[in-house]
Amino acid sequence: MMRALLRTIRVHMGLSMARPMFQFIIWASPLFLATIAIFIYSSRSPEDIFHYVILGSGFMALWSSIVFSSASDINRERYYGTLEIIFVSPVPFFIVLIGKIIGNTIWGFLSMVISFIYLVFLFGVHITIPNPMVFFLCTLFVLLALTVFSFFLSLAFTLSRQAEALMNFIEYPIYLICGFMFPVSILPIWVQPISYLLPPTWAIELLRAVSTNEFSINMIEKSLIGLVVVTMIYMVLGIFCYRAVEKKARISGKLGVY
Amino acid sequence: MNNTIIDVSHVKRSYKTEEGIIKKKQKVVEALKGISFSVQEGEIFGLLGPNGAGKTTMIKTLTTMLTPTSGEISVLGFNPVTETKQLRPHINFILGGERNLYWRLSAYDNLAYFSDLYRIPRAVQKAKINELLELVNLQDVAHQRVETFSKGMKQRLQIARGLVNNPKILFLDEPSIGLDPVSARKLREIIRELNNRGTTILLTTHYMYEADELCDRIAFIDKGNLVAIDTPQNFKLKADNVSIIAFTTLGTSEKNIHRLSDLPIIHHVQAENRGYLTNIKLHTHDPQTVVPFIYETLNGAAIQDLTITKPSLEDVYVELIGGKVS
Amino acid sequence: MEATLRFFRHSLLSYRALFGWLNPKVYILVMVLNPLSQLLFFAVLVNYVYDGKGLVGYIGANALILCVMSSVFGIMTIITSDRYMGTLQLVMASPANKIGLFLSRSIAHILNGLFTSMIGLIFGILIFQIKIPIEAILPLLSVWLVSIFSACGLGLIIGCFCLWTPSMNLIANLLASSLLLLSGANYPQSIMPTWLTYVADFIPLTRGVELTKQILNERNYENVVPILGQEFLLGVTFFIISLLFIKYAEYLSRIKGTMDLD
Repeated sequence: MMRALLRTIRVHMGLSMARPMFQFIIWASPLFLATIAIFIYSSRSPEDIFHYVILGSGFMALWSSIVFSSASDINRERYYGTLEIIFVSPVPFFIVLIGKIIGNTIWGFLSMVISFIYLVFLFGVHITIPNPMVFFLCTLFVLLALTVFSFFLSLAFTLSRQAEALMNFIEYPIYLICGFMFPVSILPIWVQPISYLLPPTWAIELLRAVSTNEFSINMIEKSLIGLVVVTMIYMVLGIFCYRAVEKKARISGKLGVY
Repeated sequence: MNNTIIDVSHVKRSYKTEEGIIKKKQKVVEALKGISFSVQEGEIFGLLGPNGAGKTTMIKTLTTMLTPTSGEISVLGFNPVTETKQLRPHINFILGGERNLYWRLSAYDNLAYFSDLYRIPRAVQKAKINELLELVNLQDVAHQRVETFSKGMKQRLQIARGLVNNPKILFLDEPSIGLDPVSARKLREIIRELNNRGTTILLTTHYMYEADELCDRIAFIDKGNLVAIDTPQNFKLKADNVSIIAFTTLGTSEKNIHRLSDLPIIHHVQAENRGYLTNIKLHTHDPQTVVPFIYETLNGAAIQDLTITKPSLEDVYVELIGGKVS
Repeated sequence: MEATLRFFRHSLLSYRALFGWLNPKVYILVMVLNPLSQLLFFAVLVNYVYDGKGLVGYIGANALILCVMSSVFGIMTIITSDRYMGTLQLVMASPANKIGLFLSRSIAHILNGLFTSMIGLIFGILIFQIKIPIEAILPLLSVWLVSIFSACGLGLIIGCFCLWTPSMNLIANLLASSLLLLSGANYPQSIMPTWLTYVADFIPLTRGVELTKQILNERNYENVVPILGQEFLLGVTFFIISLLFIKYAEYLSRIKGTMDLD
């Protein structure tokens, strides 16, 4: 099982990188957005720059690569007619799916690191993280939480074609609603509940809280609990979707076609 | 009628291709190695040859899409290299396959679009387009998008597209490729109808039957050279004193088949393996001598279904292009 | 008359034949909702960071930038799609005048770009409750028309690249991102490093964005004529370069035989 997972991750990472558009998403796009953001934020404090430019553009990179491409990966398999083959192979489908998502997450994380290095070296952004260990642990948890969310999304896209089509055009709305480059509190009141239904909102707030100068444990309490709760919800939804996909494939045999 | 409309003399075309990125090695590929022929007004002229023989290159040079490396071409009295402006309005060409149409437009709009490209006055267009749609039997689907069409319908629309400017010469590159037999027959009917209306037609194909049925004259091209040129009847006549001996044998060795080809009176041997069986076809002037020789050479091997027939155009083709053994 | 009619019909038919996003659902998603969400994102962002200063100008500039949907992604289809469908070689071998042909094909995308930008501006006005003086409308429209013309020129050059490379999506996205970055739609030009402003000077939309900000924020119309003149010249240069590229491709295909237009 573990070997199958590792192999899927490796194969998938290679496959993804072979696509020029994925290369653009990983290497180029985050740098453009990071540059635009740093120009906009140029007169703000280093802390603001860390919170909104570095974390913001990093999250954009992460979001684009894991969610955006995990979703279209399933569709690509369907297009090539390999989805059903994967489904009936002895390795459980969710292992393949999780392998893909982990592969994309690794690329996304790398992309995040690249835009981080780019900003630090090219624009001389200063970073002080008061508690690096906690920050590191929180980052790991954030990656896990987004993997779960991505698992749910790609299954939902397998079930609905409309959702998949929508996915390609949902980048900016997510940047907006999840407050990647500004606090969610500036959004209209009625938008904020939607923001807090989405894990990335909690995830970026958690990382912001943990990298604040006057950091203390109870500052991250709220966003940490929030992220745990929404992640659990999406995990349950993900399992439901998984069952539904399985049923669609096995009983109605409708996975290959819409 | 005897009016030369296309004149090709000593036409060569070579391509330089570069191999390797760092160490660039130039390789020259000769697609046409000095071809000469002429086409008379009102003819259906066929260019035949295997894949890569240079048929498409020849058509491209005649239709201004490619210039020859050397040699002279005259089409309707114009030089397709320098006088494209004068020549292009009077010719048109059709490439085989399903592409080369705007799938998102209707059949009618495709024709209107290309009519505009050929500067056909609007007053003329309307009647002309309807007439063409009728000719290719697409009038009922004139306003449907091409993407909904079958292969044969697309191919027919291509024909109509190639006629928007009432060309004096129509060039067709493998027009029936990939068509089912019924559609292919319909296509041949249209081509003949066009020819009856006075259009000169130059087509390439590797369907022997098609060339035999349609063409007034045929040129065989192989590896960039013109091998022979004549009417299909003459080709068959020339090969008239040739007989084709075909049979199936079981358990012959390769060596024995080669021994067959050593006999001077056998011009050509074709062998095709089908599991244990081998289908063999021989071309000869003297079947009476050859038949006993076969039995002798393949001594002991079973020989079935031996027939002696007159050559088809395909056999002529094989004899001209195929070499001694194939 | 005949020629003019032909010119516009060609424009319309090419647009329908070659532009893949004309299905109403896809059009609304790609050409309207997607640009609007980009505008909304940047408007909210600059409004927050600059505390509302110069917001009208930034909304206008971001609305103008939305034209990249047409002036990069749209216009390149007049070559990429044509080649993909196998019709480019037919078109090139027809007696039609190629310069007129590609210009007529471009027009639909210039107008489509103007349309997207205008929708963006109206959307921005409604959402952010901003006001635009009536007398600014005409200068603004002319600035946009010329800027989008110029951007389409560059887009057409990029479209020609499809004859040499298969990675068109990548190149188009790079161009769209570069325009967003260099035009200075979301910050004053002065913030950029000097060397970047030199690059920006040779890029379409930079001048259009600057004029849009001047018109909307300062009611300053003085620079419209001279700067717009430059933008127009830039656009003309781009179109000439793209037509030279097309001519060169034709040369490679016809004389050298090293390029297949099919």
